[in-house]
Amino acid sequence: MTWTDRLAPPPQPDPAAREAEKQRLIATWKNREGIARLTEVNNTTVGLWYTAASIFFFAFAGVLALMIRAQLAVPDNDLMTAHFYNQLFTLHGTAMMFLFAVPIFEAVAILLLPGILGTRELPFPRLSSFSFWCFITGGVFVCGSLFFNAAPAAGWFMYTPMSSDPRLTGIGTDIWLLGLSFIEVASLAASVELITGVLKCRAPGMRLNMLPLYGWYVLVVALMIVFAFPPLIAGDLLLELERAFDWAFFDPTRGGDPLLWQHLFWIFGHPEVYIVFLPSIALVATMLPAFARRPIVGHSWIVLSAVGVAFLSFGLWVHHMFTVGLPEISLAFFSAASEAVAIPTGIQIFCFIATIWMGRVVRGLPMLFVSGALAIFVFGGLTGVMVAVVPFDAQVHDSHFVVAHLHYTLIGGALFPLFAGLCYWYPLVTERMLSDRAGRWSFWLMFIGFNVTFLPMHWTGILGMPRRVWTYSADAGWSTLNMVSSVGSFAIGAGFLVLLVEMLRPRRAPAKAPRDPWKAPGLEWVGALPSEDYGLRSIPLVTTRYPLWEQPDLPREVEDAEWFLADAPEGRREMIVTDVLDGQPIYVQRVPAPSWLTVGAAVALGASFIVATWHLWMLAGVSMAAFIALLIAWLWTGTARPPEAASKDVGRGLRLPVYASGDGSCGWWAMFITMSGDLTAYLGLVFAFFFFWTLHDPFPPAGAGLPQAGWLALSAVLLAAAWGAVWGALRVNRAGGRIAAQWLLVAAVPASMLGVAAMAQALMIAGLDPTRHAWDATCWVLVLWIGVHVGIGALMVFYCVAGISFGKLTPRWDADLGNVTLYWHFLALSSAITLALLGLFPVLGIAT
Amino acid sequence: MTRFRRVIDEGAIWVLAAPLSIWAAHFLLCYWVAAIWCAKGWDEAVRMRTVHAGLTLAALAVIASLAGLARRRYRGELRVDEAIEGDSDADRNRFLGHVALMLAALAALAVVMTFLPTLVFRQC
Amino acid sequence: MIAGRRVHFGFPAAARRRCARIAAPLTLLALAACDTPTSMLAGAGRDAVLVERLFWIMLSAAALIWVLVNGIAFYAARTEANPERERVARLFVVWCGMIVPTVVLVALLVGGMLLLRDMRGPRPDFQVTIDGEQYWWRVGYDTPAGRVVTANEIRLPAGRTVGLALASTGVIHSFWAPALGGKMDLIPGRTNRMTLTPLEPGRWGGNCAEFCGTAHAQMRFEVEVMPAPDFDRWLAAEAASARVASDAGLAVFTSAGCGACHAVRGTGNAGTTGPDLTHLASRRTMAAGILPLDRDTLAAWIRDPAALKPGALMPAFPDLKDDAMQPLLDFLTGLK
Repeated sequence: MTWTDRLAPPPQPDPAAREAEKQRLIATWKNREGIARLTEVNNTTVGLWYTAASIFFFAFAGVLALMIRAQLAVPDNDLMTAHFYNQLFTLHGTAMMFLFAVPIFEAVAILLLPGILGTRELPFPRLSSFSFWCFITGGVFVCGSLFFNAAPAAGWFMYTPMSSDPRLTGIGTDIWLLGLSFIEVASLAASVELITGVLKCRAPGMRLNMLPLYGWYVLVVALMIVFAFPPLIAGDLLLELERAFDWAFFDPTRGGDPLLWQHLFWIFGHPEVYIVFLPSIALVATMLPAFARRPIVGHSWIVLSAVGVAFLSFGLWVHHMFTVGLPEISLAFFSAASEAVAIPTGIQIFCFIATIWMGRVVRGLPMLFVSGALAIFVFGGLTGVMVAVVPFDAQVHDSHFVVAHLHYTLIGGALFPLFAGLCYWYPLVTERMLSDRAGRWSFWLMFIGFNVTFLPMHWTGILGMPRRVWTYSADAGWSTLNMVSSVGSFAIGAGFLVLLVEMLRPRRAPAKAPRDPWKAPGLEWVGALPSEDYGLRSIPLVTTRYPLWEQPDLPREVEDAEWFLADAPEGRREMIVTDVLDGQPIYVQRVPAPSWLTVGAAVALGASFIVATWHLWMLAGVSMAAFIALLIAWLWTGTARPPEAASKDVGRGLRLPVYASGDGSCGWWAMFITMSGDLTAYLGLVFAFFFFWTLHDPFPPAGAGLPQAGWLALSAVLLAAAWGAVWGALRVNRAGGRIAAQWLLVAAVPASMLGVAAMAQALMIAGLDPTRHAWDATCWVLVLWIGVHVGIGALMVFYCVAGISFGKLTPRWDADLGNVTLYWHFLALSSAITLALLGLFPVLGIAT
Repeated sequence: MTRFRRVIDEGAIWVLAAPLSIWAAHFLLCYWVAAIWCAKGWDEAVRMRTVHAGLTLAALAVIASLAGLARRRYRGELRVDEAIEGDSDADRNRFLGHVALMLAALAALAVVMTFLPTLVFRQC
Repeated sequence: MIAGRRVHFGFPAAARRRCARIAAPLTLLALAACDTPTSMLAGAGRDAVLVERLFWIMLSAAALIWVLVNGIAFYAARTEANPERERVARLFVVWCGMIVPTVVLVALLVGGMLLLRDMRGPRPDFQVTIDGEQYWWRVGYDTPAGRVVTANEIRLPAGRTVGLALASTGVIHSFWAPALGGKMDLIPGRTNRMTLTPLEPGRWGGNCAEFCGTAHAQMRFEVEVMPAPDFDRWLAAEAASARVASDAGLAVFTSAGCGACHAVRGTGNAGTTGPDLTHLASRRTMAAGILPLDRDTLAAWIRDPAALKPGALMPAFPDLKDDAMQPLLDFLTGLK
């Protein structure tokens, strides 16, 4: 007997009570009006803004591309200066990757995921809002630099030593490093939210085998972000430390190596390609059943492909470095992985074709874009297999052939499916259909324009035209092909403009899209039109993979409030948190309402990154302090408040707790995921350590200072004591010992701080100077990392102490302390690795 | 720790992630062995190819045992279009087993492909 | 240049001609006005020829696969639904989605690796060192008598294998002469090695292929492949000291401080920051392959290098009077 068998029958219809319930729901979930609208946190609103902002940055980067093509249209062109052109292509790549491709995934997922999973909201609405405001602040900052002729101009890949030497590149590089690090934080925040959302916030009953493919892809891609972005953040940290403080990481005269940056960048950079590609495939997988009028063929195969691609894509990074002079055998490993990843990628495509084959295909604008995507992407995939072959890559690498290849994969694999999705979900968001005629015009302009632009570009590369050149001479023989490409690019621009105008133009006629216009099986179409801010009238029980096809009564049941959370008697926004495996309801999560705190926190954090660009450390510190204050206020008022009652009835006789702590709660999972990403960034630093070890023989270099063992041992003891104290506090508090728990927590702070101080002392006594050699710099950055984390850990500990004092954290309601303890587990692990590297490794290294 | 354990043990989520994690470990170890052997000239002591072959055999053995585990959870013939969408714990279990089994096959293939370079390139 | 090419390495002559014919319209379009071809299909070096063959094979296979996949998708979208097709669809996914790609990809992987081994195989007959500078190429020939240094124009003997030692002191560059073979990066702190075996005498173009700063686009070079005896004569001449055609010009050169950056062997000017000018006048181009070498261009360059090549690091000499400039130009153009 499962929990579903114990549910009560639906309540008797009572129109008056139903209407009262509905009014309470409306009042609770209503979007704020006027300027306060900016504080809105609901996923529908934030998702829409996020999408619009990403598309705005796409248009901006597209205009840059057209300017690039205008400059390259004729040889020896003097339309723009070399420096301006270099800013253009740097910003084009940067904006397309960091301000469009990744954010649009998060934007669409924030917008659609709760609907597709049959719930009302993501687990951390304020985090979505925070992520969005970070994104906007950072994006405007990075893009705006172009108008001051101060944009980054060293390529979106920012290769050292050009980028690491402040004499070679100016403030643009700092803007890139700090602005983008900040945006990466926003991306990570959104990923944590999405992972937790897929795992924990599904419609009751939605087991893993019923999870829509879109959910699988979001899970996989968000996890990829959590593991792919941190190495770049680690790289950014090293690079900014070298630029601002002259620490020696990339300078070969001081034991550094420019290739370290390339490794860290591409460990991020290649998964990034799949982070961009998979979400669009997810859109196709979600749309296809509606148009083929049958379930996807090979559901499990597609899940396998998504997971497979996610893993294998982490083994490709060196194929961007085939010409840096690595040993052949190393190149061959990455060549092998680059070929292997084509297998799961292909399986997805063939499952889609099989679905089309076995179904009866209905035409529609989205399908037009999907078929265009297939034609383009397959070609890009095939040239991808070609460039995975090392000798061929040695020729075409960094030529226009690769430019053509990557645009075929990204525009075919990501952009066209995205446009298909825009057409498909447009009626869901706006309750209007897009004009078929305008859509077709847009498609054909873009499709033909695209091929006119990029097909000849393969040949331009074969004829030897390198990338990132602002001019070429007439006698190089590239003039005709470049002119053709430039003409085509403006057709793409025109096609996009048609689509944009069609989407944004005001319409006089009232809304007229029918509910579920594509006869789709997905839960996002279950709601009635016109929709309300609360989304679903009640949260349904899902027992099938294609609910609208297989549970035909569902729309009526949802609308008649026959299911869960049909009421909001306490006036609190609520959602059901479910079990990872089977979607069994675990507890009711109260999600916080709109607040200026999140907007303020995002702006303050942004300000601290922005002023740091000009090395105004004092101001950066003040902004950071403001951010921390706002963050604490946000958490204190909005999260894990002790509930007024332990449990509540959510409908159909189901009683659920309204609070959870430990690994049942969303917060614990979010902390676990965040810290996994954090640990990955730390491992990026450890990678740097071992990278230098393989580079230098011996490492530590002869004559280098070795961290003093005694101080390291003391540090180990102190840090272990602090960790033990926090862990002990969790136990003691749970057993009712509130005062003892507070003492333990308070003791952890000085212990950990002294521990870090001892670690630093061990380096200082040995005379390690980070500006002298890569060894010294690497040791110091490991200590710096632990130091910063101990600082954050101390803040968390004080937060818990205050929580206990003011009754926010009690022996029974102790979610905060559970999460903080988890943080300290991770901190203990990274401290242990640091101490081993500093203390044990040199001893072993010398022994060999 | 109950819920976390449940996801790990009962849900066999880890079997989903394990085969390709083995590939990743194998891949990184092969790459590091090559990089270190080339940089430090350790080929005289132990042949690089021997190390690679050992790593590959070990990886394949682990993947095979994972596949066996997945196979037991799946309990069925390997079919492409089997939906496994029933509403029961057993169906969920079979579905995850199905995916894990195919992931094990993919991982084994990828491990073998990673081993091929060692056969072609004798030294650095 | 396509037409006069020999057939190398047992690649079937008929197939080769066929490829050339397919490529001819496009390639000739590009080569028509071009006296230093940069096409990968020019076949002037062993590596380029090997990669070209690989390219045609992969391109044909890719075209076939593209047509098949899209054709099947097109057909699939136009057929009626038929549940009987389950078995066919399953076979389709298993064979087309898994087995065939696996076989093709493994074959391509192994083939690519064997080719790579083959290309890295040849032992070099002699050594040339190339240093990437912002934004030009320092070229050094190791001869028994010592190193002979020149810039931007690399002369190589046909039929001999040259080992290139590639290094850089400032930023990353990449050495790429597509007509001869693939590229290799020049990375500060490292010395990368590659080999080239030029086959066809002629002048072949090259570019820096890794973004290296403002003037990256104008960091070009030229490889002149010559018959081996000609090359040996040229190298001997290049090793000689400079011929001073104008003593007044040399005086201007020295007093203006040109020697702080430029070396002219035999005159006491031994700067190493800029290109070695000992045999400047024997080069066809200047400013890293972007300008013809003649009096007027030289004069304009000396007055304001950045006007001709934005980002060039040589300081401008706008105040050089004509009575100093003319002897200086006599001196420079006399450096045969």
